[in-house]
Amino acid sequence: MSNQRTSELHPAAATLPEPWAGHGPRLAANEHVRAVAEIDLAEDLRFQRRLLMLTGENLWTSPPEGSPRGDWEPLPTSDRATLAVHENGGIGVLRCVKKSGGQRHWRFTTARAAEIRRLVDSANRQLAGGGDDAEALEAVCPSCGAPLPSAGAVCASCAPKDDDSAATSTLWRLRQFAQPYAGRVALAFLLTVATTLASLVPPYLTMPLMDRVLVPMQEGRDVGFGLVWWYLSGLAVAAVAAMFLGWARTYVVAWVSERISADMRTRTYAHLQKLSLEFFGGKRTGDLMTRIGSDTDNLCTFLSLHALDFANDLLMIVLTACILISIDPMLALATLLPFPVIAVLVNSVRGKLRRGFDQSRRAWSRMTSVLADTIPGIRVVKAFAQEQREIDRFRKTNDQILHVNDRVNRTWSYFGPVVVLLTEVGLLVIWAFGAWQVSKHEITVGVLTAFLTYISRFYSRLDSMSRIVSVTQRAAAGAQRVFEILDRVPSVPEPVNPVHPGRVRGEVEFRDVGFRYGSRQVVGGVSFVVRPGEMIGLVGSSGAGKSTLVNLACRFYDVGEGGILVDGTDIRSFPVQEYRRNIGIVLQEPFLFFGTIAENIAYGKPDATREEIVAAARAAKAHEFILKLSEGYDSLVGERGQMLSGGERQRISIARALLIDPRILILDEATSSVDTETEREIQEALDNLIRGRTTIAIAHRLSTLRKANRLAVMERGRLVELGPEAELLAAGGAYARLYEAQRKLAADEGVPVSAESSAPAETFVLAGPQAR
Amino acid sequence: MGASVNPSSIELKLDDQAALTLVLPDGVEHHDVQTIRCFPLTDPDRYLSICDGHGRELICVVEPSQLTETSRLVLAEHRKQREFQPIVEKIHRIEHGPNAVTWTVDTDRGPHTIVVKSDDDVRRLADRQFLVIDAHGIRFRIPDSSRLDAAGRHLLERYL
Repeated sequence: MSNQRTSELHPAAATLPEPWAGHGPRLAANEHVRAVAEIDLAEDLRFQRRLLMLTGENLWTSPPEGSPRGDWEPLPTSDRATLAVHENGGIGVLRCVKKSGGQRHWRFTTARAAEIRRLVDSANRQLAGGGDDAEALEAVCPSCGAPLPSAGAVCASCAPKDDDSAATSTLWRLRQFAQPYAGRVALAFLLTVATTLASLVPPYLTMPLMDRVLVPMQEGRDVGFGLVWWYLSGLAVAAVAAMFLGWARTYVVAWVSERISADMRTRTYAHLQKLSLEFFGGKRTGDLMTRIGSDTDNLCTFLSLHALDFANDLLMIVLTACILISIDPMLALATLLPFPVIAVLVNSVRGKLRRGFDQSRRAWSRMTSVLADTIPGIRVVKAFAQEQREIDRFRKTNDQILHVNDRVNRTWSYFGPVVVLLTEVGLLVIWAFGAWQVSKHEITVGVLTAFLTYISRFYSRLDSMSRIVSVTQRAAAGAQRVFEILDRVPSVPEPVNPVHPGRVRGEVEFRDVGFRYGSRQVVGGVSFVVRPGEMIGLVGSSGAGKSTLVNLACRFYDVGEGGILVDGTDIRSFPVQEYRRNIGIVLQEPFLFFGTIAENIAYGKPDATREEIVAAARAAKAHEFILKLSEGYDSLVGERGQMLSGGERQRISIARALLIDPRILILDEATSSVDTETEREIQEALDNLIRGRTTIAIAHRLSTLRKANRLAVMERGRLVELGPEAELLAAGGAYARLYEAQRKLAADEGVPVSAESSAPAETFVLAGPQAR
Repeated sequence: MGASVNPSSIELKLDDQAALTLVLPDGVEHHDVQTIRCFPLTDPDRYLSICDGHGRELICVVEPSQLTETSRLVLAEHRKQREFQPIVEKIHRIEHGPNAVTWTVDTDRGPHTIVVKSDDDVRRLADRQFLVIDAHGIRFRIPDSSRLDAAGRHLLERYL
């Protein structure tokens, strides 16, 4: 579907989705399909699928999915006056006003909106006399119709989700992490077999010890002590060998599992870093921290201790069974009788426990989330005196853990004793059956003793094996949560055939850009070009879509519709990393990592020399305050480091952007969180930063945009005005209203709109607070 | 301001009040200047910033070793009186209290008890190099932990 051109979509060949495939309308000889979109609601807003098919001559509406062979309803292009989409609250309407009078409309959910907008765009281009729009049909997600960054990329909303398969099979997926250590794993297995064999020797030796030595001795026969020594040394050797083998085995297995879980942590974290901001927006920090931290550690414990024990036990049971049968099949049969019962029991409890442990994990991560949420926000908690509420919130999540675990423990606590009971029953069976056989002289006392020794080991193993059920399920639940991250396809995908941007000139073009957040259209139909080296100020009230535009330009998200072009190339065809290297960002709340100031400045360019770091800090007007810190550039900052003021942090983040010398600069409300005095200092630093770079700036205060060449005024996701400030003011439109509003506000507060508002060459801008 | 110049073209001297004075290449004199190392821990011998009494940088000497002989001597003397960074030579005890950690040590300036507020105040600068900042902001250095005795190294282990 991705590369089909209009000309190939001829009537008969037009690939319609099921169930309409092959039942398209009868088209005229030269009637070509231009676009196909699905609508999914009927007039009464019940779910009902239909197709819309746009051709040069008609807009065809298909029969509903229930009767795909029905007649298609045409709406001739010549009768179409307007065709427009309206969306509200998750529901969209496509309305067509007919020239012949009346109108026709179709309803759909926002799930289909992108597809339908494309069809409408195509139809309107057609009316406007636009020709072939074959381009538009390229790189569209085959399942949802959303445009794709490149042919062959995976659509974010249709990416395969992890199906909820049996948890234990998730554990099997761990083998990909074990592969690099295949040799050690094999060694561990051999050692396990050897250990188990060694531990099976002693009971076997009790048999002849009993029959050939002890019983004859009791009967008064002289057997001599040589044989006794012989058997005893056999027992001793077996015990010592089992000890050494067990030691080696445990060490090797622990070595391997430690590495598997370390690899897993790194892989998961590396994958996490590649996921787009959209993913982090929907996840809680604490939850992600649990997944990478304790979930992987639980897996390690499971692999090194429990999985090993389990393999050991299984082997032990099989070997014991073999030995018992080889000694005496009848007695063996009686002995093993309770075993299937236990197997059934284990299986029935399994599912229950798995659900329980899964819930328990979730409850845990909810609790960690509360911690991760409130500890960084402790100032707000205290300021609003909400300590008690936070304690209650914590107690509530903690109670959930208690509740879930209580439930698991109920199942669990009855499970253990039942196994013990079965063990006792098993022993009883042997005693009874064995005594009867001894009386019949079918077996010797030695055989019975051996059986009893074996079987007590056997059942003690069963007990620990039953324990494995819980730990396996626990580990499986953990593994599943880790794989959930690993299976997540980054929604900012890497292009299949990347174009390497190198160092760009810095021309940024927004071409018909649209983006929706859930069902809300945040930005739509925005088009403008920023010339290399030009500074554009983004202006508009809160929620107008300013931040969304810069996030799209940074490729934190990908556009839903249209495209952003840098130097004429769609940014989605650049590898993300190479593209971002051309971008410098200064945010409203600069984030400093725990580390020295020098490290923080060099964050985007870790190999920067001290010369460069100091030069960047000077240009960012940060050098002198850094010298005042006790360790200069070596002072620790960040969460656990020294406290820096907002303006100081901002200047460090400006130095950070300066150091990477980006061609394109994004200023997202860089001065809105500081006072006027600090702002002046930051402004000087920003002026150094902006020089010669393509800059897109959002600002709350006028003065930040003093140097802007042009202003782009946004209103409810649309670009309403674009031009130099003077022109916009003269035009008396949306910008003039904004300006006036802010001027009044400033006058009320006695603050000048700008200290330099009389300078004619300069531009002042105002903007609403942050959108999101 | 701030630009690096040829170090040999400037002069450091002490004026009548024994205050450090900077003479710039154009002959302008600045009295009572301060010297600040930009990278006191990672590159202490380079990037010496010379500031006026208000902390404004007058000049930054990237390579102080290229200063004139006399300037260097003046600078060394000046710094010697202004720097206090004892070197820890032996650690006797590290006691963990509820609010602070107390180190009983011998330094090159005599025995001392260092009160450290948190583990974050013990910084590992390089493989064997440590910096301990006490509750008053005084800095103690361990330039090479391998020169401590075995007991001392053992005590340091938890900061590795």
